[in-house]
Amino acid sequence: MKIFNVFPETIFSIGPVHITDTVITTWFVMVAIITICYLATRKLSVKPSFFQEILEAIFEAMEKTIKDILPLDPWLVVPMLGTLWILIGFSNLAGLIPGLKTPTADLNTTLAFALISFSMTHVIGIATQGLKGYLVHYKEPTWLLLPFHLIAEVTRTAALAVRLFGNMLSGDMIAIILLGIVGLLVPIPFSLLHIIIGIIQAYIFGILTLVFIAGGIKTKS
Amino acid sequence: MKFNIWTLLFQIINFVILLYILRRILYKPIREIIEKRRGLIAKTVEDAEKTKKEALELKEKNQEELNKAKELQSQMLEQTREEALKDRNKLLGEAEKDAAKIIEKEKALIDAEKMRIESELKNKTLEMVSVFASNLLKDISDEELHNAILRKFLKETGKFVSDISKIKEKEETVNIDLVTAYPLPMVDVKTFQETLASHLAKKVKMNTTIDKTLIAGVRIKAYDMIYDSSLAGQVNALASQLKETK
Repeated sequence: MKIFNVFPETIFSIGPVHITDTVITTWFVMVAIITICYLATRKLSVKPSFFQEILEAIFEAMEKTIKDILPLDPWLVVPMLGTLWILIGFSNLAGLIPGLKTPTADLNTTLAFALISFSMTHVIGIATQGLKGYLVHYKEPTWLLLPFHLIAEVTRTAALAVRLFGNMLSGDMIAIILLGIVGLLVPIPFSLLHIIIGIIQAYIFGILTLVFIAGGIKTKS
Repeated sequence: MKFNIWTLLFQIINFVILLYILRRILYKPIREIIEKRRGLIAKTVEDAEKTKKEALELKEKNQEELNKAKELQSQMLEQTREEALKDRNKLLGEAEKDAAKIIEKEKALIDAEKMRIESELKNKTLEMVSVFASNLLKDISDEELHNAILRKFLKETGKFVSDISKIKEKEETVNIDLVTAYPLPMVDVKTFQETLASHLAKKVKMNTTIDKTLIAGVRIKAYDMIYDSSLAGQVNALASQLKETK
């Protein structure tokens, strides 16, 4: 049953560096994303084509979402957040292609994304209100809550990572188990469900990151 | 499932690389195009507002010019009306003057006519009076009256002779026409002739004619001088004297 292993495996190693299939799949996903984006933005003009209109609608929706939550220039966080959404979204859906493993079903990947989200929160918080101004929010409303703030920093990051990882791994495992038990066609509804879950989880990941960033900023106002 | 630090690092690196690439090929162009369009829309709106403003200004200006034109028109109308009024007054004045002239002329004509009629009336009256007087005298005159007049005339012969003697003529003979209403006795004629001849120291030739129209009395004509003592002559003299008085 080696084919249906949902856990990552080391494909090859360069010295101490172990390259797992997760990383290779992620590269594949990245190439796909870059290709699509390249093709999509090749012929932009002031008078948009149908495809360009969809693209712009997506970006305007993103802008609006960020604006609703964050009292900052949306384009400050659009590239980071957009990349998170795109990368997680595409990664979540990569598992649907036979022979590929979902990169986000690897805790290492989701932890990496969660760490990026964590550092984004602090970087933007400090960049917009200074180190002192940012650190002030840890003693709100009293100094007594400082330990809980610190614990929350760790737990919410871990939660981000585990939430995404758990959802994706379960989807993959269900598909494989069902495939092993009942055959070819039965997992299809579950795969459709998996698509929805993948998109929703990517969205939730981004929105939570946004909320954390906003939480670090709003205390000032 | 185990923790793999390399996978973690690779995924972070992957994210950063993807972020860098997408920044260049996705976010930047999209943002640029969106902002360009927004700018274009803003500019278009601004242009439209500017155009609208310009149109409004133009409209206002046109309105102003129209008002000016209207004012000018009314001014011109006023001027024209004043000129027309002036012309009319002038024409009226001229017409009045002409009318006055015509009236004067007519008046003069009428006056002349009046005078003519008056004088005619006077002449007629005088004529009538003289005729009436002549007829009256004719009725009442007879030879006795004639003789009385003649005697009075003969008494005044001296005056007559002095008048004639003032006329210096070289002729030897003086022709005297004697017109009488009644036949004169030859003695009287002879005496008169001799008296004249002696006074004038010239020969006197008498032509005696009888004319009943004299009514009574005599009339003497020497050269172009007439000495009339007849009643008809008196009446005529009176009539002509009356005619001259106004």
